[in-house]
Amino acid sequence: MIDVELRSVTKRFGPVVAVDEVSLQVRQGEFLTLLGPSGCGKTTTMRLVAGLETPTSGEILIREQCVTDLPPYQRNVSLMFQNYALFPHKNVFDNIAFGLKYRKVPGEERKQRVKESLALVHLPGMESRYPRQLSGGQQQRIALARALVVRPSVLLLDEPLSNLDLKLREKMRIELKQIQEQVGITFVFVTHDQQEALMLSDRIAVMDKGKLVQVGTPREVYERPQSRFVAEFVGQSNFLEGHIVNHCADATEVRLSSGLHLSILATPHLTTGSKVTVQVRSERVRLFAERPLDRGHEFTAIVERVIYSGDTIQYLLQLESHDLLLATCPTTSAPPLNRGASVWVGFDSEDCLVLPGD
Amino acid sequence: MDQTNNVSTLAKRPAFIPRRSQVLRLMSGWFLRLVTIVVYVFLYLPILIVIIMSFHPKIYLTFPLPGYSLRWYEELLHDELMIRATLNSLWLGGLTALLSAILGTPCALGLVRLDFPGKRVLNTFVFAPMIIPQIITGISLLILLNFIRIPRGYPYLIIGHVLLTLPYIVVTVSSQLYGFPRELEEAALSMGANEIQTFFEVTLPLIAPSIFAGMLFAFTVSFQEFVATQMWATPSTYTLPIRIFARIRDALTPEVNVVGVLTILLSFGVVAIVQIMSRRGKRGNRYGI
Amino acid sequence: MTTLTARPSVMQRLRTRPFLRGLVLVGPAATWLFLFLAVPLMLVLVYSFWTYRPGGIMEHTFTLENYARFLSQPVYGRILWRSFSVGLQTTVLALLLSYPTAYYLAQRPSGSHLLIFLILVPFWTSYLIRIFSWMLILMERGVLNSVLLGLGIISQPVRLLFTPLAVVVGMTYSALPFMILPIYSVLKGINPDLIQAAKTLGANELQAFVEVTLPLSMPGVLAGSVMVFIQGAGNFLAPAILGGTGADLMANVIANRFIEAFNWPFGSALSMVFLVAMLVFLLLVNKWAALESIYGPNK
Repeated sequence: MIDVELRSVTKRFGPVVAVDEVSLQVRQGEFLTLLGPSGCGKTTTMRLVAGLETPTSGEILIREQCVTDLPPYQRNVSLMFQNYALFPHKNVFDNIAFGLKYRKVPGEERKQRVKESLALVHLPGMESRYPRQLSGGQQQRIALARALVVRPSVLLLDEPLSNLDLKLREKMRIELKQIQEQVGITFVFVTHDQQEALMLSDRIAVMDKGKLVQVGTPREVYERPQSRFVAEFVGQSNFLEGHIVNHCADATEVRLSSGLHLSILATPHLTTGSKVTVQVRSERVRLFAERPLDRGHEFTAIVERVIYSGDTIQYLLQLESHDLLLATCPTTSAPPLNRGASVWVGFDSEDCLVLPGD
Repeated sequence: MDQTNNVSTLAKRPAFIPRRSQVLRLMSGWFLRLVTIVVYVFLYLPILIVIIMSFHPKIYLTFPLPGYSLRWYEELLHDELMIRATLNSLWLGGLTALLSAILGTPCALGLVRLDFPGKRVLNTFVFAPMIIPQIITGISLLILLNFIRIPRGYPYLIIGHVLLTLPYIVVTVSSQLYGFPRELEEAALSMGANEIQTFFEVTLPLIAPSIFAGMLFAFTVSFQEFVATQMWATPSTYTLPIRIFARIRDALTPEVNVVGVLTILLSFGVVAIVQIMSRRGKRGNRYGI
Repeated sequence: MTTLTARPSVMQRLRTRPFLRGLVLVGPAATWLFLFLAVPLMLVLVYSFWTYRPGGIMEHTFTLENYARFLSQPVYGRILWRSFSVGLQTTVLALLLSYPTAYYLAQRPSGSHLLIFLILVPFWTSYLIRIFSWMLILMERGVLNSVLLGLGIISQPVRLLFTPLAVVVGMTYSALPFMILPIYSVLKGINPDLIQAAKTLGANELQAFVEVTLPLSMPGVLAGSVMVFIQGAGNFLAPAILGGTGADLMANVIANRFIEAFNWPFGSALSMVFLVAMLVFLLLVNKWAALESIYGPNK
């Protein structure tokens, strides 16, 4: 069952097109993330689903009912905000019970459900506290409890963890995922943090400048990006420009603008001479002290810079052809190299992804 | 002028001659403090004089006082005209504050949150009574209501005072609305409350402090308004300021000082309440509401 | 797929049409202002062209005699001029006293709450009482004369009350909070890093003040000055209580036409002249202020 569907939804603010013909289906029980840089339209898309904005054109359906013209209080959705949005003048119980009150849930049941949702977020007994007495993390959990207690068709989360410090954020991520799996409610999660998206999502919808650029599982988005934008936004990559010079049966030859030749997996659909960008993930670039056995691409390089990041070490390498490559190695297996050191660099043809030239 | 700090320059200068910038700083510091003290004394001297004079035992006020007496405080308690005028001012002030709040709060909401044609014009008109000399506001309303044959008195006073106090409500409420966190309202909407319910359950309780402050200001302004009011009131509806002005004109002023003391206390109270409210609110919650 | 057909309820119409929403929220206040401020002012204009017959009768016949009277009898022009001049004097005096005070207050890192509180109390005290208090100070047997006599500085009481000086003093006194508060709030908002930057670039205290603080504080100075000037020029109480005869300003004359002379047409004409003069002044200030911002901080 499709819980949320957007059909060619467009939203304009004056001359600005914030959301551009977005069509998307969110399956029941799914954790879908809208991922993209600021201004890409992900928050606006979420607000359109919530009913806080009305689309300029297109339709929005929730549980197969057209809600495009309905206000937020007539859609069965819940929201979580970056700064929690707990009512400061109401205590925890009244905050959580707010939605139940307007759904005309009788008093006794209300008390029971508030209790359950507090237990769900590991904050039992907090009913009479006020938001100002709670820490950031606690407030966010109350906000979650408030959103879930009404059993919405979909829960929309607008960068809810961005206000928490790093350690708390990592902890809350895990809890959020656990709770979502436990309760089974569809989550639509908005973030610009690609690591968060990869960690939490069943599927990721990447957006850029109002358009939906790619939708897929975290694996798909990471390992098979369909555009340079997605490849750049998610993970770290090397991008090498060039054009196709030759097609063989099982390989295609690309000549980079630096003169270097690469042999990559066959791409028969691209004509000879067309411009391409070859993407190689930085963790797929391997380093050798001596020339490795002949398999895949090997080049000599000089280490330009060493960047230590705790669990990884990154090397900026300059090849003879003056191409620059970034290699990421786990610290435990990284070779002890300094600036200026000479090293062999290699990557497999399978690790080279071809992206359209533009 | 050599203002560098290197050791050799310092060593050449005798220790007791201060550097030019130091002199400037010292002078300007003393100058500022002096002017400030003068200003504060200037501000409070007349107030103190009024308070002191209210204890003057004689009808014809001289300085220094020949003695001290609570005579005029007592006289005021028996002064029919003044008491009636005070009551008039009190209920007029209260009614004005209420009406102003009812008109002004939605107006502030509209001005802060919406865009509509004529918004700037409306803004100008809301604040016009603060800029147009009160005498002109007075005579213009007089002309209108006289033209449609409404006799002077309460209608003029209520209409006019609401006009004069509206800007105060709009200013205080809109200044709180500008920083208001809309997510609170969006959260309420998503949970099933419609716009009106959201307003009464979420928005209104949180802007109540500024509405209250605005009402206090409106009351104070109305209570003390004279120039326009003199064009609108009839003897039975005379407000306190009108009676006071008459006494001043007739040089029968001892009770005026007592009333002065009361208005000083009123102002003191209003400012204190508003300041305490705003400080407590800011400490209370993360939204500073 | 089912579509929820919603009947266009009042709520829905309000929701989808922001214009209606605006109307509901702003309508009552706007109507009030239109009926009781805009329309009356238009009526004043109309009245200024009607004829006055002795005995308090007003005829609805068009005439220019009211404006002619204003132009032909120099006393009215003089009073208009005096109003503006007094307003200007008050503004300048208030500015000279208020700017240093506001500057001092803004400089204090904290704890100016009490001092601001102390300024606000007179601010909200009745204007009538504040002007009246100067009577007590300036009158013959008043505070100032008694002190001066007691100190031996003068041998006879000086006539201070019912002079133009008294009017200006009274108005300046009342204007102080109106000038201090806007300047203070603007000064408080100036980023202290700017001054530090100027100093590290070589400016001394005075230069930093003139180049950075002063221009940035102009909006507050302007706001306060305009307020004080308008209040001064249009003032009724100060001349009425402290000025005595011959110190009348426009407000007094206008009031007089209505209360004592019942010559509403002429009073209306005077009001219109005054309003137009103020409008012209404000527009000029607006232009000059706008020019200031072009030439000002970018010198």
